[in-house]
Amino acid sequence: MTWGLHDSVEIEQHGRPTVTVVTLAFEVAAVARAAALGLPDQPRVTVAHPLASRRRDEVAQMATAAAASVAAALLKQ
Amino acid sequence: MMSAPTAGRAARRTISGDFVEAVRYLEREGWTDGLPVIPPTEPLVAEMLSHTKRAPDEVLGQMEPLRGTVTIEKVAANAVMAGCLPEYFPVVLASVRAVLQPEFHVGSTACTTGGSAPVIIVNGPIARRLGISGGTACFGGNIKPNATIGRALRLVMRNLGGAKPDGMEKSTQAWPGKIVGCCFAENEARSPWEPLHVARGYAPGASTATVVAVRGIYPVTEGTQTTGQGVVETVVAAMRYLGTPIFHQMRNRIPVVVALCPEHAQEIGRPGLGRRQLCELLYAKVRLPVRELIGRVYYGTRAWRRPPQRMDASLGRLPRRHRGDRRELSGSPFESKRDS
Repeated sequence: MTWGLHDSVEIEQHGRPTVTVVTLAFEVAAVARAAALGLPDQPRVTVAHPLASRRRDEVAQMATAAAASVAAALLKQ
Repeated sequence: MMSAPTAGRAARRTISGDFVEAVRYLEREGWTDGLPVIPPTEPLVAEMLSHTKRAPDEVLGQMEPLRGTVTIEKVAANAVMAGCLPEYFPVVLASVRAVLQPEFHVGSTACTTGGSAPVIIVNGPIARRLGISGGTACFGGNIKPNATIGRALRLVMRNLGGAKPDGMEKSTQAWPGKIVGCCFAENEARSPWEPLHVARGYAPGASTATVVAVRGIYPVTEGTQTTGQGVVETVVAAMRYLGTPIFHQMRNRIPVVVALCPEHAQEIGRPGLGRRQLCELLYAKVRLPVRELIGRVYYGTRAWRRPPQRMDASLGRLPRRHRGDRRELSGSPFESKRDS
Protein backbone atom coordinates (compact mmCIF):
# COMPACT_ATOMS: atom_id res chain seq x y z
CA MET A 1 0.00 0.00 0.00
CA THR A 2 2.75 2.42 0.98
CA TRP A 3 4.72 2.11 -2.22
CA GLY A 4 1.62 2.47 -4.36
CA LEU A 5 0.89 5.75 -2.59
CA HIS A 6 4.48 6.91 -3.04
CA ASP A 7 4.26 6.21 -6.77
CA SER A 8 0.94 8.03 -7.11
CA VAL A 9 2.18 11.12 -5.26
CA GLU A 10 5.35 11.21 -7.34
CA ILE A 11 3.43 10.89 -10.60
CA GLU A 12 0.99 13.61 -9.48
CA GLN A 13 3.94 15.86 -8.66
CA HIS A 14 5.06 15.42 -12.26
CA GLY A 15 1.69 16.75 -13.38
CA ARG A 16 0.10 13.45 -14.38
CA PRO A 17 -3.31 12.64 -12.93
CA THR A 18 -3.58 9.44 -10.90
CA VAL A 19 -6.20 7.47 -9.04
CA THR A 20 -5.09 5.25 -6.18
CA VAL A 21 -7.19 2.15 -5.56
CA VAL A 22 -7.15 0.96 -1.94
CA THR A 23 -9.08 -1.71 -0.10
CA LEU A 24 -11.33 -0.69 2.76
CA ALA A 25 -8.97 -1.90 5.47
CA PHE A 26 -6.30 0.49 4.23
CA GLU A 27 -8.45 3.55 3.63
CA VAL A 28 -7.70 5.39 6.89
CA ALA A 29 -3.99 4.72 6.49
CA ALA A 30 -4.06 5.84 2.85
CA VAL A 31 -5.67 9.16 3.76
CA ALA A 32 -3.15 9.84 6.54
CA ARG A 33 -0.17 8.77 4.49
CA ALA A 34 -1.15 10.81 1.43
CA ALA A 35 -1.49 13.90 3.62
CA ALA A 36 1.95 13.24 5.12
CA LEU A 37 3.37 12.95 1.60
CA GLY A 38 1.92 16.35 0.72
CA LEU A 39 -1.13 15.29 -1.28
CA PRO A 40 -4.11 15.45 1.10
CA ASP A 41 -6.65 15.46 -1.75
CA GLN A 42 -5.19 12.46 -3.50
CA PRO A 43 -7.83 10.98 -5.83
CA ARG A 44 -8.79 7.62 -4.37
CA VAL A 45 -11.20 4.78 -5.05
CA THR A 46 -11.92 2.33 -2.25
CA VAL A 47 -12.82 -1.28 -2.99
CA ALA A 48 -13.71 -4.23 -0.76
CA HIS A 49 -11.14 -5.97 1.41
CA PRO A 50 -9.30 -8.35 1.08
CA LEU A 51 -7.74 -8.90 -2.33
CA ALA A 52 -5.01 -11.44 -1.61
CA SER A 53 -7.30 -14.40 -0.98
CA ARG A 54 -9.67 -13.80 -3.92
CA ARG A 55 -9.55 -15.75 -7.17
CA ARG A 56 -8.28 -14.04 -10.26
CA ASP A 57 -11.77 -13.89 -11.82
CA GLU A 58 -13.21 -12.34 -8.65
CA VAL A 59 -10.55 -9.64 -8.72
CA ALA A 60 -11.29 -9.05 -12.40
CA GLN A 61 -14.97 -8.57 -11.53
CA MET A 62 -14.04 -6.08 -8.81
CA ALA A 63 -11.85 -4.20 -11.26
CA THR A 64 -14.65 -4.04 -13.80
CA ALA A 65 -17.04 -2.76 -11.16
CA ALA A 66 -14.55 -0.09 -10.03
CA ALA A 67 -13.56 1.02 -13.53
CA ALA A 68 -16.28 3.66 -13.85
CA SER A 69 -15.31 5.21 -10.50
CA VAL A 70 -11.66 5.28 -11.50
CA ALA A 71 -12.50 6.91 -14.83
CA ALA A 72 -14.75 9.47 -13.13
CA ALA A 73 -12.04 10.35 -10.62
CA LEU A 74 -9.51 10.77 -13.41
CA LEU A 75 -11.81 12.93 -15.52
CA LYS A 76 -12.68 15.16 -12.57
CA GLN A 77 -9.06 16.38 -12.34
CA MET B 1 -2.07 24.53 30.48
CA MET B 2 -0.21 24.23 27.27
CA SER B 3 2.71 25.98 25.64
CA ALA B 4 3.04 25.81 21.89
CA PRO B 5 6.08 24.12 20.41
CA THR B 6 8.65 26.29 18.74
CA ALA B 7 11.09 25.13 16.12
CA GLY B 8 12.79 22.10 17.59
CA ARG B 9 11.23 22.55 21.05
CA ALA B 10 8.54 20.19 22.26
CA ALA B 11 5.28 21.55 23.68
CA ARG B 12 4.97 21.72 27.47
CA ARG B 13 1.79 20.70 29.25
CA THR B 14 0.82 21.16 32.85
CA ILE B 15 -1.16 18.28 34.28
CA SER B 16 -2.88 18.48 37.65
CA GLY B 17 -3.25 15.37 39.76
CA ASP B 18 -1.06 12.60 40.99
CA PHE B 19 1.28 10.19 39.21
CA VAL B 20 -1.46 7.81 38.11
CA GLU B 21 -3.57 10.63 36.74
CA ALA B 22 -0.57 11.87 34.77
CA VAL B 23 -0.02 8.40 33.31
CA ARG B 24 -3.69 8.14 32.37
CA TYR B 25 -3.52 11.56 30.73
CA LEU B 26 -0.64 10.35 28.55
CA GLU B 27 -2.62 7.22 27.69
CA ARG B 28 -5.69 9.26 26.70
CA GLU B 29 -3.50 11.38 24.43
CA GLY B 30 -2.45 8.19 22.64
CA TRP B 31 1.21 8.52 23.59
CA THR B 32 1.74 5.14 25.24
CA ASP B 33 2.01 1.55 24.04
CA GLY B 34 -0.62 0.32 26.47
CA LEU B 35 1.81 -0.20 29.34
CA PRO B 36 2.31 2.44 32.03
CA VAL B 37 4.97 5.04 31.30
CA ILE B 38 6.98 7.44 33.42
CA PRO B 39 5.65 10.97 32.81
CA PRO B 40 8.42 12.90 31.04
CA THR B 41 8.75 15.84 33.40
CA GLU B 42 11.20 18.61 32.56
CA PRO B 43 13.76 17.56 35.24
CA LEU B 44 13.72 13.92 34.06
CA VAL B 45 14.09 14.93 30.41
CA ALA B 46 16.91 17.32 31.35
CA GLU B 47 18.69 14.50 33.17
CA MET B 48 18.36 12.31 30.08
CA LEU B 49 19.71 15.14 27.92
CA SER B 50 22.74 15.50 30.18
CA HIS B 51 24.07 12.26 28.64
CA THR B 52 24.50 13.73 25.17
CA LYS B 53 26.50 16.66 23.85
CA ARG B 54 23.87 17.30 21.20
CA ALA B 55 21.57 20.30 21.53
CA PRO B 56 17.98 19.48 22.56
CA ASP B 57 16.55 21.22 19.50
CA GLU B 58 18.80 19.45 17.00
CA VAL B 59 16.65 17.82 14.34
CA LEU B 60 17.64 14.24 13.52
CA GLY B 61 15.09 13.83 10.74
CA GLN B 62 11.46 13.03 10.10
CA MET B 63 9.94 9.81 11.34
CA GLU B 64 7.92 7.99 8.71
CA PRO B 65 5.14 7.26 7.98
CA LEU B 66 3.51 10.51 9.16
CA ARG B 67 6.77 12.44 9.29
CA GLY B 68 6.94 13.82 12.79
CA THR B 69 10.04 15.92 13.44
CA VAL B 70 12.56 13.98 15.50
CA THR B 71 14.53 16.18 17.88
CA ILE B 72 16.98 15.15 20.58
CA GLU B 73 14.56 16.48 23.20
CA LYS B 74 11.61 14.46 21.89
CA VAL B 75 13.73 11.30 21.84
CA ALA B 76 14.74 12.05 25.44
CA ALA B 77 11.09 12.46 26.48
CA ASN B 78 10.22 9.08 24.95
CA ALA B 79 13.25 7.47 26.58
CA VAL B 80 12.03 8.76 29.97
CA MET B 81 8.56 7.39 29.25
CA ALA B 82 10.05 3.99 28.33
CA GLY B 83 11.81 3.80 31.70
CA CYS B 84 15.37 4.28 30.47
CA LEU B 85 18.06 5.36 32.89
CA PRO B 86 19.79 8.53 31.66
CA GLU B 87 23.00 6.67 30.89
CA TYR B 88 21.14 4.54 28.34
CA PHE B 89 20.45 7.62 26.22
CA PRO B 90 23.45 7.31 23.84
CA VAL B 91 22.23 3.82 22.82
CA VAL B 92 18.68 5.10 22.32
CA LEU B 93 19.99 7.97 20.19
CA ALA B 94 22.19 5.68 18.10
CA SER B 95 19.22 3.37 17.51
CA VAL B 96 16.96 6.24 16.45
CA ARG B 97 19.64 7.57 14.10
CA ALA B 98 20.01 4.07 12.66
CA VAL B 99 16.32 3.70 11.78
CA LEU B 100 16.24 7.20 10.28
CA GLN B 101 18.70 6.14 7.60
CA PRO B 102 16.70 5.90 4.36
CA GLU B 103 17.78 2.32 3.64
CA PHE B 104 16.11 1.13 6.85
CA HIS B 105 12.65 2.10 5.51
CA VAL B 106 11.30 2.84 8.95
CA GLY B 107 7.85 3.76 7.60
CA SER B 108 7.51 0.37 5.95
CA THR B 109 8.82 -1.34 9.08
CA ALA B 110 6.20 0.43 11.17
CA CYS B 111 3.22 -0.16 8.84
CA THR B 112 3.81 -3.39 6.96
CA THR B 113 1.17 -6.11 7.18
CA GLY B 114 4.15 -8.39 7.88
CA GLY B 115 4.29 -7.02 11.42
CA SER B 116 7.96 -6.22 11.84
CA ALA B 117 9.64 -4.56 14.80
CA PRO B 118 13.17 -3.25 15.29
CA VAL B 119 15.81 -5.40 16.91
CA ILE B 120 18.80 -3.54 18.37
CA ILE B 121 22.11 -5.39 18.65
CA VAL B 122 24.58 -3.52 20.86
CA ASN B 123 28.33 -4.04 20.59
CA GLY B 124 31.42 -2.63 22.27
CA PRO B 125 32.33 -1.34 25.72
CA ILE B 126 29.00 0.45 26.29
CA ALA B 127 27.14 -2.85 26.37
CA ARG B 128 29.25 -4.04 29.30
CA ARG B 129 29.13 -0.66 31.04
CA LEU B 130 25.33 -0.45 30.90
CA GLY B 131 24.73 -4.11 31.63
CA ILE B 132 22.94 -4.79 28.34
CA SER B 133 22.59 -8.54 28.40
CA GLY B 134 23.71 -11.00 25.75
CA GLY B 135 23.36 -13.94 28.06
CA THR B 136 20.65 -15.92 29.80
CA ALA B 137 17.16 -14.89 28.68
CA CYS B 138 18.52 -11.83 26.86
CA PHE B 139 15.48 -11.61 24.57
CA GLY B 140 12.92 -11.69 27.32
CA GLY B 141 14.38 -11.85 30.77
CA ASN B 142 13.10 -8.62 32.29
CA ILE B 143 16.54 -7.06 32.02
CA LYS B 144 16.16 -3.32 32.43
CA PRO B 145 18.40 -1.90 29.67
CA ASN B 146 17.32 -4.59 27.19
CA ALA B 147 13.64 -3.89 27.86
CA THR B 148 13.68 -0.10 28.13
CA ILE B 149 16.06 0.76 25.26
CA GLY B 150 13.99 -1.35 22.86
CA ARG B 151 10.80 0.20 24.20
CA ALA B 152 12.22 3.72 23.83
CA LEU B 153 12.88 3.16 20.13
CA ARG B 154 9.38 1.76 19.66
CA LEU B 155 7.82 4.75 21.46
CA VAL B 156 9.83 7.16 19.28
CA MET B 157 8.65 5.32 16.16
CA ARG B 158 5.06 5.23 17.41
CA ASN B 159 4.73 8.74 18.80
CA LEU B 160 6.78 10.64 16.24
CA GLY B 161 6.07 8.42 13.22
CA GLY B 162 2.37 8.03 13.94
CA ALA B 163 2.02 4.31 13.22
CA LYS B 164 -0.77 3.36 15.62
CA PRO B 165 -3.26 0.50 15.34
CA ASP B 166 -6.24 2.76 14.58
CA GLY B 167 -4.42 4.33 11.65
CA MET B 168 -1.16 3.60 9.88
CA GLU B 169 -0.21 0.45 11.82
CA LYS B 170 -1.30 -2.40 9.54
CA SER B 171 0.38 -5.49 10.95
CA THR B 172 -1.79 -8.51 10.28
CA GLN B 173 -0.90 -9.83 13.73
CA ALA B 174 2.53 -8.44 14.73
CA TRP B 175 4.53 -9.81 17.66
CA PRO B 176 5.34 -8.58 21.18
CA GLY B 177 8.49 -6.90 19.84
CA LYS B 178 6.10 -4.23 18.57
CA ILE B 179 5.63 -3.16 22.20
CA VAL B 180 9.04 -3.23 23.76
CA GLY B 181 11.12 -3.75 20.67
CA CYS B 182 14.05 -6.07 21.22
CA CYS B 183 17.47 -5.00 22.42
CA PHE B 184 20.38 -7.21 23.37
CA ALA B 185 24.16 -7.24 23.32
CA GLU B 186 26.32 -9.62 21.35
CA ASN B 187 28.07 -11.91 23.82
CA GLU B 188 31.53 -10.89 22.64
CA ALA B 189 33.37 -12.57 25.52
CA ARG B 190 32.05 -16.02 24.62
CA SER B 191 31.97 -15.68 20.83
CA PRO B 192 34.49 -17.57 18.71
CA TRP B 193 34.32 -14.80 16.12
CA GLU B 194 35.18 -11.15 15.78
CA PRO B 195 32.28 -9.00 17.07
CA LEU B 196 29.50 -7.97 14.70
CA HIS B 197 30.57 -4.32 14.66
CA VAL B 198 34.16 -5.27 13.78
CA ALA B 199 32.88 -7.49 10.96
CA ARG B 200 30.93 -4.45 9.76
CA GLY B 201 34.03 -2.26 9.70
CA TYR B 202 34.08 -0.54 13.10
CA ALA B 203 37.06 -0.47 15.46
CA PRO B 204 37.04 -3.07 18.25
CA GLY B 205 36.89 -0.32 20.87
CA ALA B 206 33.91 1.40 19.27
CA SER B 207 30.41 1.05 20.68
CA THR B 208 27.65 0.54 18.12
CA ALA B 209 23.95 -0.19 17.77
CA THR B 210 22.90 -2.29 14.77
CA VAL B 211 19.16 -2.23 14.06
CA VAL B 212 17.33 -4.82 11.97
CA ALA B 213 13.61 -5.08 11.20
CA VAL B 214 12.45 -8.50 12.37
CA ARG B 215 9.10 -10.27 12.09
CA GLY B 216 9.42 -12.45 15.12
CA ILE B 217 11.64 -14.80 17.05
CA TYR B 218 11.82 -18.41 15.90
CA PRO B 219 13.47 -20.61 18.52
CA VAL B 220 15.55 -23.53 17.26
CA THR B 221 16.28 -26.28 19.75
CA GLU B 222 19.23 -28.58 19.19
CA GLY B 223 20.48 -30.71 22.06
CA THR B 224 21.45 -33.91 20.28
CA GLN B 225 24.06 -33.06 17.69
CA THR B 226 27.64 -33.19 18.91
CA THR B 227 29.32 -31.26 16.12
CA GLY B 228 29.03 -27.75 14.78
CA GLN B 229 28.06 -29.13 11.40
CA GLY B 230 25.15 -30.96 12.96
CA VAL B 231 23.98 -27.78 14.65
CA VAL B 232 24.20 -25.85 11.39
CA GLU B 233 22.17 -28.55 9.62
CA THR B 234 19.42 -28.19 12.23
CA VAL B 235 19.46 -24.40 11.89
CA VAL B 236 19.26 -24.74 8.11
CA ALA B 237 16.35 -27.17 8.36
CA ALA B 238 14.48 -24.76 10.65
CA MET B 239 15.10 -21.82 8.32
CA ARG B 240 13.87 -23.72 5.26
CA TYR B 241 10.29 -24.14 6.44
CA LEU B 242 7.50 -22.96 4.18
CA GLY B 243 5.76 -19.89 5.51
CA THR B 244 8.66 -18.28 7.31
CA PRO B 245 9.22 -14.73 6.10
CA ILE B 246 12.85 -15.41 5.26
CA PHE B 247 12.41 -15.70 1.50
CA HIS B 248 10.43 -12.50 1.29
CA GLN B 249 12.88 -10.65 3.54
CA MET B 250 15.84 -11.64 1.43
CA ARG B 251 14.09 -10.45 -1.70
CA ASN B 252 13.80 -7.04 -0.03
CA ARG B 253 17.42 -7.15 1.13
CA ILE B 254 16.41 -7.33 4.79
CA PRO B 255 18.95 -9.30 6.80
CA VAL B 256 17.95 -12.35 8.76
CA VAL B 257 19.40 -12.43 12.28
CA VAL B 258 20.69 -15.80 13.43
CA ALA B 259 21.51 -15.64 17.15
CA LEU B 260 23.46 -18.65 18.41
CA CYS B 261 23.95 -19.57 22.05
CA PRO B 262 27.65 -19.53 23.04
CA GLU B 263 27.95 -23.32 23.20
CA HIS B 264 26.65 -23.79 19.67
CA ALA B 265 28.70 -20.88 18.35
CA GLN B 266 31.86 -22.39 19.80
CA GLU B 267 31.08 -25.82 18.32
CA ILE B 268 30.47 -24.25 14.92
CA GLY B 269 33.59 -22.09 15.12
CA ARG B 270 35.87 -24.85 16.40
CA PRO B 271 36.84 -26.25 12.96
CA GLY B 272 37.96 -22.75 11.95
CA LEU B 273 34.73 -21.67 10.35
CA GLY B 274 34.55 -17.88 10.34
CA ARG B 275 31.51 -15.65 10.81
CA ARG B 276 31.37 -14.75 7.15
CA GLN B 277 31.83 -18.37 6.06
CA LEU B 278 28.93 -19.39 8.27
CA CYS B 279 26.74 -16.67 6.73
CA GLU B 280 27.69 -17.84 3.24
CA LEU B 281 27.00 -21.44 4.18
CA LEU B 282 23.51 -20.54 5.44
CA TYR B 283 22.85 -18.44 2.35
CA ALA B 284 23.79 -21.36 0.13
CA LYS B 285 21.79 -23.94 2.07
CA VAL B 286 18.61 -22.17 3.15
CA ARG B 287 16.74 -22.76 -0.10
CA LEU B 288 13.53 -24.40 -1.20
CA PRO B 289 12.85 -25.95 -4.59
CA VAL B 290 10.41 -23.82 -6.57
CA ARG B 291 8.09 -26.84 -6.89
CA GLU B 292 7.40 -26.54 -3.15
CA LEU B 293 6.61 -22.85 -3.46
CA ILE B 294 4.31 -22.87 -6.48
CA GLY B 295 1.03 -21.30 -5.49
CA ARG B 296 2.12 -20.89 -1.88
CA VAL B 297 3.60 -18.40 0.50
CA TYR B 298 5.46 -15.70 -1.44
CA TYR B 299 5.21 -17.29 -4.85
CA GLY B 300 3.11 -14.40 -6.11
CA THR B 301 5.64 -11.84 -4.99
CA ARG B 302 8.46 -13.44 -6.97
CA ALA B 303 10.83 -14.04 -4.11
CA TRP B 304 13.63 -15.09 -6.41
CA ARG B 305 16.10 -13.14 -8.42
CA ARG B 306 14.94 -14.17 -11.87
CA PRO B 307 11.31 -14.47 -12.95
CA PRO B 308 10.31 -18.09 -13.56
CA GLN B 309 8.33 -17.53 -16.80
CA ARG B 310 9.95 -20.49 -18.42
CA MET B 311 9.38 -22.82 -15.53
CA ASP B 312 7.69 -26.08 -16.35
CA ALA B 313 4.86 -25.99 -13.83
CA SER B 314 3.97 -29.63 -14.33
CA LEU B 315 7.41 -30.69 -13.21
CA GLY B 316 7.97 -27.77 -10.88
CA ARG B 317 11.51 -27.44 -12.11
CA LEU B 318 13.33 -24.44 -13.38
CA PRO B 319 15.00 -24.62 -16.78
CA ARG B 320 18.67 -25.44 -16.56
CA ARG B 321 19.89 -21.85 -16.79
CA HIS B 322 17.99 -20.95 -13.59
CA ARG B 323 19.48 -23.73 -11.52
CA GLY B 324 22.59 -21.88 -10.42
CA ASP B 325 21.17 -21.45 -6.93
CA ARG B 326 20.74 -25.16 -6.30
CA ARG B 327 24.21 -25.77 -4.97
CA GLU B 328 24.60 -28.45 -2.39
CA LEU B 329 26.79 -28.50 0.70
CA SER B 330 29.79 -29.88 -1.19
CA GLY B 331 32.63 -27.44 -1.16
CA SER B 332 31.41 -25.88 2.07
CA PRO B 333 34.03 -24.78 4.60
CA PHE B 334 32.93 -27.63 6.86
CA GLU B 335 33.64 -30.31 4.31
CA SER B 336 36.88 -28.87 3.10
CA LYS B 337 38.04 -28.60 6.70
CA ARG B 338 37.01 -32.16 7.42
CA ASP B 339 38.69 -33.44 4.28
CA SER B 340 41.99 -31.74 4.97
